Amino acid sequence: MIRLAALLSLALCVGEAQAADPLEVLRGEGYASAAAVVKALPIDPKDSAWEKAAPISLLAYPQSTVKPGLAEDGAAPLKMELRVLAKGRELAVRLSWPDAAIESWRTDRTDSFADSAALQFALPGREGTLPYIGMGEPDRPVDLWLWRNGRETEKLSAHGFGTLERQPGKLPDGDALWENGTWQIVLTGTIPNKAGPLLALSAAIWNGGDAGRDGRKRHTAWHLITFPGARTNSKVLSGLVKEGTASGNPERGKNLAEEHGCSGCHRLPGGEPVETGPDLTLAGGQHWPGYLRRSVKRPSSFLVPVDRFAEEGNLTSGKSLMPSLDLSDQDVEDLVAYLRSMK
Amino acid sequence: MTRQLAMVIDLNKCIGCQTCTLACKSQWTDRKGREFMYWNHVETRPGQGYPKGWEEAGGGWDGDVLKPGRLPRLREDYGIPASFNYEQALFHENAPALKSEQPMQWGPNWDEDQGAGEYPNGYFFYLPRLCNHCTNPACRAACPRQAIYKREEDGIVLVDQERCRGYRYCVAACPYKKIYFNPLAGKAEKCIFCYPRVEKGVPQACAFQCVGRARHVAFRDDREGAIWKLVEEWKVALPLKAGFGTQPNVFYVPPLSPPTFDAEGKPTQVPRIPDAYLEGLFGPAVHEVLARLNAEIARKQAGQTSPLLDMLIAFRHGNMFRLDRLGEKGNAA
Amino acid sequence: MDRRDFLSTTALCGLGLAFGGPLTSLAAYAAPRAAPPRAWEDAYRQEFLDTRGDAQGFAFHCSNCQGNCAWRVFAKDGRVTREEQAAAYPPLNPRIPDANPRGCNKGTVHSKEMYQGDRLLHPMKRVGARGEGKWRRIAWDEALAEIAAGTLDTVTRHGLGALMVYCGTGILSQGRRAGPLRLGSLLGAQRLYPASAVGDMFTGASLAYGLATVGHSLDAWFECDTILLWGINPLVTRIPDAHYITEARYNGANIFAISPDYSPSAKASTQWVAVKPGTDAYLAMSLLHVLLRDGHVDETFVREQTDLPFLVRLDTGDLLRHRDLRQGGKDDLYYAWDETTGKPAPMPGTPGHFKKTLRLGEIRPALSGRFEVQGLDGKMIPVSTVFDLVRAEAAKYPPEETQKVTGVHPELVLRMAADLAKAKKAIINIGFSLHKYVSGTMTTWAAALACALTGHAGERGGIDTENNWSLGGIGPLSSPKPARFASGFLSEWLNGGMQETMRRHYPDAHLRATAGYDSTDVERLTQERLERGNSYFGKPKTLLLFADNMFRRNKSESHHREALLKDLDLFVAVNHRMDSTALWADIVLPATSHYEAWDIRGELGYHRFCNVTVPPANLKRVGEVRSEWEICLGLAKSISAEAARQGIEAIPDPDFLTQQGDKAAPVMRDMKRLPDDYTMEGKLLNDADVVNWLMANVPQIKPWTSEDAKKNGFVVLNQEAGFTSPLYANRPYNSFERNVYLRQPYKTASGRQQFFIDHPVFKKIGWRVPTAIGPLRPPSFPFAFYTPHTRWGIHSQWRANAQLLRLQRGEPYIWLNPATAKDRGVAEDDRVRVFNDIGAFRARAKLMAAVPPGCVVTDHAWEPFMFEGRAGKNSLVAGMMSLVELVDGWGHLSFDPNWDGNMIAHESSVDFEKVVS
Repeated sequence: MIRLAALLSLALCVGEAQAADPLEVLRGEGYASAAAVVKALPIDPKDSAWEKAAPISLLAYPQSTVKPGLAEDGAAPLKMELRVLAKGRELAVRLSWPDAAIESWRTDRTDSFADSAALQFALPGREGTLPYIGMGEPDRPVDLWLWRNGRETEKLSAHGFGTLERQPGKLPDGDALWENGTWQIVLTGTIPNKAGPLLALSAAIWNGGDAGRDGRKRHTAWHLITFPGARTNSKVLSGLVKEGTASGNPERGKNLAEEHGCSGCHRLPGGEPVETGPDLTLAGGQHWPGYLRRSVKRPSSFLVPVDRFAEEGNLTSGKSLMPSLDLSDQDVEDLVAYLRSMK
Repeated sequence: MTRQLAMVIDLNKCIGCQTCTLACKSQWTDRKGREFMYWNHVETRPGQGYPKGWEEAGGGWDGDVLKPGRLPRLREDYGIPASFNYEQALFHENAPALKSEQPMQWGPNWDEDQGAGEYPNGYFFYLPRLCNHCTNPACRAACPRQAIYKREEDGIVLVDQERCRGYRYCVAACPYKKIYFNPLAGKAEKCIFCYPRVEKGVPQACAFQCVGRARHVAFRDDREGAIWKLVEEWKVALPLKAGFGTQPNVFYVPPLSPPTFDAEGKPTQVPRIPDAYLEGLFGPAVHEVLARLNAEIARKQAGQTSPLLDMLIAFRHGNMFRLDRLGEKGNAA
Repeated sequence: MDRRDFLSTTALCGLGLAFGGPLTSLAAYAAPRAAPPRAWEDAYRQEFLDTRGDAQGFAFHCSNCQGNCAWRVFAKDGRVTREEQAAAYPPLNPRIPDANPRGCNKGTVHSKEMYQGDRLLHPMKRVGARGEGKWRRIAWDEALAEIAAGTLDTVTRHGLGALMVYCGTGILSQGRRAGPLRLGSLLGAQRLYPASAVGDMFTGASLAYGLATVGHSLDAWFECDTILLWGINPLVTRIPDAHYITEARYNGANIFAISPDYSPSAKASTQWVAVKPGTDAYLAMSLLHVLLRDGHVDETFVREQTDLPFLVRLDTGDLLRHRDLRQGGKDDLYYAWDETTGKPAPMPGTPGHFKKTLRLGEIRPALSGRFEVQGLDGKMIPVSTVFDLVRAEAAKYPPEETQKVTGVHPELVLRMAADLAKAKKAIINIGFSLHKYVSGTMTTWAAALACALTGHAGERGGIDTENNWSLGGIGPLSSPKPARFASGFLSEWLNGGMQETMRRHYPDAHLRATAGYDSTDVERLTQERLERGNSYFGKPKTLLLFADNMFRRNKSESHHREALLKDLDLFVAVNHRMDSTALWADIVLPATSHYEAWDIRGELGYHRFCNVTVPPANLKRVGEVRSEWEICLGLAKSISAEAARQGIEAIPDPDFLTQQGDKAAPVMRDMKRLPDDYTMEGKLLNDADVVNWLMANVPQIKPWTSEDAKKNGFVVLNQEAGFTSPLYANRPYNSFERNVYLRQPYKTASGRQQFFIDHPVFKKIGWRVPTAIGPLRPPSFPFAFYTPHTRWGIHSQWRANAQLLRLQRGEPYIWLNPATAKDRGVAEDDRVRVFNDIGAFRARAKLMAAVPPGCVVTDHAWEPFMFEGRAGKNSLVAGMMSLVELVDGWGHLSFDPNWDGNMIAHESSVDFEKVVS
């Protein structure tokens, strides 16, 4: 498997300084923030160092692509706050989210699940694209730090559904605090990005009380963390900007969706659950416009490896059941804008 | 083509002694977070069994759709692996009674010999249960990690301990509730059909150590093996709860029982285990099987021979296991 | 992780996911990966190898289990990892299922038992009051010296008989048991007869055959057409052999399971006979009634093999004897009426007859009739036959009448009778339960008569109590000098002051009405036994107790314990675990358990295999444990040293005389030479030496050697092992073939299977011939209390085993019929108090449709220390003895291994109530 480190060096080899910050537009969209640099990374969620980090406010959406998920239970998005501190290659992330009760890993129970959280890391590809949000893609691996309450943390990597594997090396350190209905957990570790100016990060949380594990989680969309002073490849930057923006007309997109009968296979807002394709009611919050664009244009460009999404149930063909729609570029943009409105 | 190692358990020879249960335990489950698990256990039927109420816990197939299932609770449905206060109770003054440090609420054999019915027509029998190493395992289908697979050479269903992430969909999906979650390891574990023994030519601990000599082991396509003969030829061994749709590879010879008494205490002709109850476990074919067994016993009583009963009698313990025989097509196991 | 608190966030609440809780919806995922990586499979392979260890030995687990199964024992780094049945016994012949894989649930967990927290690890001395639980660890030397001093003090101040060296039924093997036996024998100590102490005497069989243990190797079940399991539950208590029952059923046998509860063996039967508890003798008499009424009598057999044709004087009620006819005639020569000559004829084969054969020659004995014979004084004596008396007695019990008592429908009795009569081979198996009712002797005697009437003996089956092999050559090892062999039940009765609880619980009038005798009769006959003086030696002052749980076992639990302890100066318990008895000791010594010492057992007759324990190489014994042989050697040395210090070389024991030249001299208890005598001049220093000695000296083991045994864990006994028949190499063992086919006389007063006894006590209570006797159960408490053997222990051994308790409910419980429980407002798993005028205990309730209404049942031998307040189930069992079992000194009813009695266990009445806490 291709490790993140290798990918990084590939992506950043032709870095070049930029005068103006082209990512500003993404910050505006809520897709990017800058990490604060500190001399010592805190582990305690109460550490005053966290004051230095700007709060990143994100919504964690119920996973709705594969079952069992949370979306089919009617779960609502949850508001999370992330703060990111950096020290060289080391990163400390504090995640906060509301949770009414503590559930921890119990060695005396077989039916309980621990409150858990994970950070998923990826790097933009050459074109500035990001891997699929759900565990990456075959040639776009992601790295993960997993925290489960009462259990040793894990350092993992994945390159698509079902490919999660533990990785050797020092485990993420951290601390967890539950107070007044809120979890605050800190995860610190080394990111394999020595000089990286950019790191895509997403968070997932599992509520033990909802039997949270695997796909029964809420997750954020990708969020870019920039590191001050680092050089970035302009192609990557412009690609990212394209990934993060959509200019279409959502109203028209909605009409197009109706015309093409998307609700026959996908659940759309206000619609009934449909089993054939992924539930799209929260797609705009879960994905970047770039991913939505690719999916609409070329459904088989990345197939979520689930039987029922594949042609004739044949997963290995990699061919999506979704027909190729005869769409103009504008149609695509309008559909993406429509999808993006679903949050 | 996957070959399938299979087992027939003769409920007329199971004496409920739990030697198999403990043989399995000392072979596999007395350590490493498995202490509460019984990969093999024997439960009294009728009863709630182990885990408690497993039959009502969902799982299995509805056509090609998995039915939802429930997760058993350790204390309430499996029962804690009780530990006892030996030191305190036996080597100190003012000692309390020897007892479990946490009171037991249920266990793998909690309703031993309780059964059903009313005296003098109460009834019970023993049902040993282990992973059925199904041909269509619901556990395997439910695993998003594809951590569960059937081995090509013997059809043994295994949970890849390196892939398993402890999601427990398999636990819910198994309608027999014979996959367990190991909360210490954070992984699902189950009966492995003793593959490390079988690979060395040693039968499964539960089968080899069955002092009732109730268990036959062979490949399903071994025409000389007891499985072929009892399942396909004599048709006296049936899967448990075939309606779950998983196509088990453990089969049972259903139990005969002595007759009930009428109101005057006179024995009737009616076996005390109601046929309907057995049908609920083994399906409608059970009537024919019991009739066949009775007919063969009648032949024996009339001084005739019965190859079927001779096979069930099993004159040689060692011949009950055929682990390395050639299959139908001559391919070695 | 280096910050532990990160891991230990405590959970504050559980969650509601559960059976009955929400269902997890599931998705069916893709077909499996074509070639899953399988390197991980090595993990379980390695675990398997770990359990196989690096060394292997053999063992068996004989406490008071008669299973005697060869196991392989695996060890790694000196620690036992696992055990597994050896399953290597050779088949007898192709038509009999082989004996593999003998073993059971208890054997399978012994490696856990071995390292469990109740294991005794070091010698300990109490530093508080007895039973208080305050202990101090002491060194072996200190312990042995202290015991030696106490022992010598006892024998010098109170006599040799005041020392009891008793090895209980925790060890019944020939190797480990030899140590205490040999030491006790050299010292002249008293010891109890264990079979009687635990209530395992088959006195009904003794009456009939002069042998308590008769029967078959249990593979004989497979050959039967008809099997009666009477008060025996082999699916629970004979686990290694139970397959012969289920296989016999497949082979076409009719199997009648006679028991009050629907037991697992009833489940495996073709017909359950639901007899009310304690009424078995009525059922047995009805069986005889039908056999006689319907003419199911094998006349040839009974004329020759039984005393049924013997003449009985109708004037005195005694057998007609030679002395009745001739001045100075013999007391042991009996007559039948010869139909050929029309005269009484002395029966060959009776002890007083010069013909030592049962062959009748020209005599054709009448089975029935009234005759007159001329007596000494010339007067005619009216006589009849035993057969007629038996028939007259049986006539009183038509099954249509006894159904009211037994609950058994006449149809069932008819079927049993018919099946017995037509069976080529039939076995009536008598369980250890029956003789723990007062009626047990009669039930078994009547069952023996049923077998006689239908000709079932030898290859045709017959009564089966428990077959034992005859192992010769052991005497020089275990009994080098005569010792004080005490009646088991009588000694425990007297040592425990049981007459008090008998008087309290059983009103005399009630006893007379139900049993035909009362407590005064019991006490008078007890007194007679004491005056005879050959079976009771007084309360011990020093008790060296090996592997015996007498404070768990004995009736009237605390009452017995206090009575015994009161007069004890020194109480030493030697055991591998802390049991309910060791808790009260002055000194406890830790002994090896089943895998840690060499051992051998071959006298058990359920099969023909003599098993050997071979500890795995380099096995580390637990703690400071020593084998019983080593412990007794240590005691011999320390007693000898202490005697030397006190200037004692030898103590004469005038109760036993030896011939010295032409004079009788008292046996000398030689203290100086004690260690040399014990070790046979240094030949037997440890348990391995003992096993080698036995292998070389027991003729029934030939031609096998120690080397053979070490290779396989067992050897096969040869033809000489059978008591009453040869042990043929290729077929199951049957009793009495020498009597039936070679016409050798039986070891009874009559020389035949005997169904008439004219001892005054038998005459007084109307027991000259088999008859019925009712349950004693006093009406002062409403429920019958009986305690069948458990699946979960060999008596109290393994009863506290964690692995086994997890397969039960973790604490003692009683079985109640649901309706009976409901009457007392008791629900499943409620806590209940069971009580009567003797005592009380508390337990949980388990509701069982299998249990008859009106009964409180618990599978027996829970350790008292497992009960709240440490009062066990025997707390409310009153002392009781059967009067006939106290008879001594008459014909074949003289105290010896074939004639001793049982304390009654199942006749007490109780009540129970829900405990509201």
